[in-house]
Amino acid sequence: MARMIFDNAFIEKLKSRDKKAQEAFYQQLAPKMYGICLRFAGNTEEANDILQEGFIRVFNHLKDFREEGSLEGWVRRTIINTAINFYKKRIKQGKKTELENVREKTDSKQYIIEKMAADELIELIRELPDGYRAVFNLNIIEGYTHKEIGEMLEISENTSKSQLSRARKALQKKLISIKEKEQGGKKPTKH
Amino acid sequence: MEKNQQNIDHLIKAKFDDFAPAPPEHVWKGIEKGITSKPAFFVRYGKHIAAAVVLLGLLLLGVWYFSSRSAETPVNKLQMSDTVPVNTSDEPATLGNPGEKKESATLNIESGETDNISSDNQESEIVSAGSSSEDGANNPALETSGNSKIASAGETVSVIAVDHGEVSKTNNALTMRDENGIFSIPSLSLAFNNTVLPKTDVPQNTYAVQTVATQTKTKTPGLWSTGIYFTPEMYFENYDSLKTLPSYTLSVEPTYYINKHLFVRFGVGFTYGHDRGYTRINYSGKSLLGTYEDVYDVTFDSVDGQLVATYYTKTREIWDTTDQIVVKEPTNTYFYIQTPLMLGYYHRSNHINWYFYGGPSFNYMISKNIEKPINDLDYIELLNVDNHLPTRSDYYIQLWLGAGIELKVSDKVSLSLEPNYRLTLNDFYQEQSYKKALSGFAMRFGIVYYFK
Repeated sequence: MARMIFDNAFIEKLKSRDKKAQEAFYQQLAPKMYGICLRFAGNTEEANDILQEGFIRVFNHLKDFREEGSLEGWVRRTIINTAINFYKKRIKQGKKTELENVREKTDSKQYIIEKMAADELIELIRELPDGYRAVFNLNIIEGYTHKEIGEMLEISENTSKSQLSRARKALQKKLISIKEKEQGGKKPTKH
Repeated sequence: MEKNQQNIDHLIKAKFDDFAPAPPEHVWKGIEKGITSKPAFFVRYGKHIAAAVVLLGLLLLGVWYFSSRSAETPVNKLQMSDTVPVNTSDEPATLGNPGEKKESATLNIESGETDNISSDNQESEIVSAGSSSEDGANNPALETSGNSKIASAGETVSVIAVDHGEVSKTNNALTMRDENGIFSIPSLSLAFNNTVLPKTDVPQNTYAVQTVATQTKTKTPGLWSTGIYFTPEMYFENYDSLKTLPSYTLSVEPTYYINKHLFVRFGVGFTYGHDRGYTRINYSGKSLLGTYEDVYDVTFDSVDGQLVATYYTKTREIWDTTDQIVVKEPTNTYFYIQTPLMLGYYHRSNHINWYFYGGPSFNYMISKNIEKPINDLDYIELLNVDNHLPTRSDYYIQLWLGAGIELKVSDKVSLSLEPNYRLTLNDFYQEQSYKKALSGFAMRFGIVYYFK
């Protein structure tokens, strides 16, 4: 994954709230961050809201950036934290995570995943219940440990693990369903 | 299996490595609106802060207005109703019997309003219109006895204040009353000891004392008191799933009395507050489905020629994992430092004082305890937590409007009771759905000590 590097002069401009620098910065990073938002959000509208609120937080709190790590990484963490806040609000507003009973199947889904485009995969991830999706994104894609996820989402480490396990099962079920549809659509050939 | 899963995880991760879709254009416009040059604090609470500043400004203006009014009193003239003749000859004029050079005259004026005002703080001046004489022996001597002063001509000594008042001399004693016949001047005595006024300084057909312009300056320097207050506070607003329980404050609040009626109160207090909410928890847990008797041994015995089987059993419990729902009521507790700044009006009487006041109070959270609705031991798998207990903001600003009465226990100690309305000016809770102006009622119980 290629990372963008911003020089100190540009960062100083951002800190002094230079409008042009802000817009250029947004144009550079927004697509990548939007990808994250789409993964975490339940729908596109919410992804837009996360991106907007996340970048407002970035610009308003840029003075807190200590230049110890990469600016892109700091923005990424801010966007993820914003997405987590959205998730927590949803949970507290009473939108509960549904339990899905998924039977384990050991088939390899690698082929299907390889064939799928990222946006198709996002559609599958979006269909996961909120809690599953948050843990799945944080662990599988962002690489956070279950302990870190527990602290971020205010759940126990075990809960994070079980949520991930269920997320995987749910995702597998969806992949199998896609595979079965594909196979059902193909007519058998006679020799 | 695990390796297979890792491969899938890796594939999914790789899919998103370069995933960078273009966001809609309107998002940037929203960001532009949201970016402000002001710090977030002032953006969010700017209106409340401005309102508090304006209110404080008005209160200070009121303090200045009333305190300046009480400090300024008009220049008054005293009129002598006695028949002291004006000395028109070259002989020095004397006050009292013109034939007696060593006569003394005394002015005694009693004040009816000396309550809570130290006599040491009363100062009066008499400004003589005449010029001083070169002859020190003939000058009216300046003597001080207690709070009374006697001035030589031209000297500023003390103050007597009565608008259109009248001074009379009876039996060498001078009394004063105002138009309403009410004596309202602090205690004062004047002694004229061989007060010889120069002829040129005494206008014709006037009394000697008429040449004396008097001016009152009633200074009322600050009085301090300190109160210790215990305050239970209840809140008016209700939420469906949240009980904002009463909070309790113990505070120490010094009060500075700007003048007889106005006071400023400030101080510091420690507040304990707590909220109780509801949390619905869906979890997968072990349930006792029932019991059965497990036969672990059977013996056969012959009793009276008949075979009898004896069964030895143990009671076995049947447990299984089931999805369950439980509702809990967790309680969050908070501790704040409270710093009120009040301006008020005070009315004193002999036994009971009353007052009212208003102003902002700043409350900063110093500690909190957020109760977890469920712990790991309660469940095998936590499916969902639907928490309806919001967390409070790190600080809040209140506007207080209160009134109170004080019962004097002794000259320096009073007991106070203050009903108090409070309006929270910023968000009391962090969560969006709980954001509304919170108001409450408090009853303050206090013991007040006056530093006299």
